[in-house]
Amino acid sequence: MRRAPQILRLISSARTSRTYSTAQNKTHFGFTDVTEQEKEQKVHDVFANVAKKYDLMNDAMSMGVHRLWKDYYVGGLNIPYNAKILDMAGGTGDIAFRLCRHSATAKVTVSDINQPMLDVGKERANSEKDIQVNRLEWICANAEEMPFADNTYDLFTMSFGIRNCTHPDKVIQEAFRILKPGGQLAILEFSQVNSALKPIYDAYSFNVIPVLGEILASDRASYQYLVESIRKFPDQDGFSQIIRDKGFDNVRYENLTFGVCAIHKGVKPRK
Amino acid sequence: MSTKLYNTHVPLTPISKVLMGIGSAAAAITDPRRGDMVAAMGETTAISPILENLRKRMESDVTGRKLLQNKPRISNETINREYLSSLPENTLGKKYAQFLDTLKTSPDARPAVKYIDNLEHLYVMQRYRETHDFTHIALEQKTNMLGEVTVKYFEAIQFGLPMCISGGIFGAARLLTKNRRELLEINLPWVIEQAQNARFFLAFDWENHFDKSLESIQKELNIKPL
Repeated sequence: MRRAPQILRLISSARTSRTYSTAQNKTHFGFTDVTEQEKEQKVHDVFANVAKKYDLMNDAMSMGVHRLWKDYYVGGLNIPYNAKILDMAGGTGDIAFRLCRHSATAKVTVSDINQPMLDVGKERANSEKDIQVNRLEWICANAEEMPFADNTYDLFTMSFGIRNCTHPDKVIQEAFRILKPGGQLAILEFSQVNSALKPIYDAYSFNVIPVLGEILASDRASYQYLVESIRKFPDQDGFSQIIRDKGFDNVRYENLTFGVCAIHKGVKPRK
Repeated sequence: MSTKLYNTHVPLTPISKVLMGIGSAAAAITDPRRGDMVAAMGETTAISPILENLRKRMESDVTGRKLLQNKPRISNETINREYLSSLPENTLGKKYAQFLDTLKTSPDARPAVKYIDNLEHLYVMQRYRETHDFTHIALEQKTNMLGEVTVKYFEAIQFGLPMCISGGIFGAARLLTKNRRELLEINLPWVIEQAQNARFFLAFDWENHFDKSLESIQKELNIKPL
């Protein structure tokens, strides 16, 4: 049997500083330092490459569990009658389709900064038999500067997208603006796992996931970025504070799978 | 995990290497057209003792030692396609130009080496990858499945790389019955004898012999054509 230090070397080191945004227009792309303009382009490239194999990789990496997370996330939403929903970073439509199934009357604007992802989503919408495509509209847009009017939407959803944004706080601010008073915010995102499980989670993330990316999608780099970006994002309480700072009430979160991901919710105050 | 030693270097942790070896092997067997997976499998299974053995054998050969010192590359930069095409019909250079033209490819089209963590071994692996085409030409084996398997057996015997050994075995398993028979009855007995008697191909400076006839090169390498 190997000795302890060798085991630790085997499961590799993950730098875990969790600050996400610094001054001087410098930010991070995973563990690499880049300028903010570079980050947006790099993220775009990651998802343009990833689009076609996205769904396959999600299933492979999470062994199908991401479906359960999304089911639970949408199932726990309180969707008003005839609701107007904005699903940001909605790309291939996973959340949008669930929203349509969960509410017979809601209309969903699916928005994503990346057109190839939206194209995949549109294709999937046409082949899913129980989705009425006229309840969906597909808009290519930047979450930090949304082309939507103030006080328009009843519900803002964003699933596994906000950690890729250069300024998550700006996204929350925009979400506040476009929501109607009384409107709800619900964000599903990777978060910080329970510390007892961190070694196994890190080992899996850094040793298995990039290799899966190379084998299934010929793209190790995009999945290396994925696991690094998770560690750079604020933890559960840090993110809650950002949401509170932007004016939301009743801010709370719920951990899924021991904190691998979390659902953060908030409500825009009625005047 | 080590730091990057060269441009295309992707250092992997030991666990990642094992997983990559198994996964790329599975991917390559399922879809042999995935050149990146064949290359990855070759690199992750070429463990240090094997590459070190190859390096030592190169070093104990006069020409091989020069190769290790100068580290010449076969790339779009170092290969002049026009010059090669202008050479007489039966020369190595002319045959190489025709080889590349028929396959509509170029020396740079091979994947770069990524997973080797030692600069000396990096050159050995790179040299293997860049001279594989010459091995095809010297043995006069086409790049169809039968020819590839024949060449893999040659490389397996001369070099001992795990990728060549398993490529030979699994590649042979995928052959159609009549090709398999040809392999077993004709190609294999022949190529095994060639591999044992021929000069060590990795220590040969192919690029200095483009103007020689294939026949004279085969004599120099001690290859008797099929």
